[in-house]
Amino acid sequence: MEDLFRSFWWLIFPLSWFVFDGFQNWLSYRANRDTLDLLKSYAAAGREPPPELVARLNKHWNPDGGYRDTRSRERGGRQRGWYQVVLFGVLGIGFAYASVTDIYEAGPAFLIVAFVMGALSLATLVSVLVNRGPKV
Amino acid sequence: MLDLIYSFWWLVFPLGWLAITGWNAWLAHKTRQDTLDLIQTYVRRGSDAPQELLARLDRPQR
Repeated sequence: MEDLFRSFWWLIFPLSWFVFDGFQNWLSYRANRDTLDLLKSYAAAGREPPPELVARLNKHWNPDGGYRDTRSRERGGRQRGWYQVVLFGVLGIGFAYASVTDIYEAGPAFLIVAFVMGALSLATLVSVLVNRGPKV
Repeated sequence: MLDLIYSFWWLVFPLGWLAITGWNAWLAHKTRQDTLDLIQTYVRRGSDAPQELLARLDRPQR
């Protein structure tokens, strides 16, 4: 068991990312559902909902910044895309270096991670370039 | 068992990606369902649903 942990401790980082992303999306879904529930209460009571509440439907909830406009979110998405290109690219280079220098005597494992990071970086780059809309 | 883990540990990445994509798709489906449910409430009451609510159905949900 200890041997397994020593070999795969670094998997904690990518797995945490999967868990965190899923949790963040779940929180976003809950925030959205609560807004819809409140609107439903207004509709059932036959009252007009406040415009601020209806306007919230055009916003996306995120845990660190509250509600954000979906239009600015699209722009933010492009910026996040470039951020991920750089992040995955640098991580890929780092893991490639770790593979070449055979750090912790786990060269082949690091090589696979470097491939994954490189693929993610390239895929995000293509996504950012393909989805590049007219500048507003 | 250990030998199996050492050989196929990399499967964690595609399987994790599949799981998170499925989870997000399910949440998107639930969001759309909730929106339709609310629109139905307005219809039952005999009034028009807010435009923002209808516009949500055209947007990809997350």
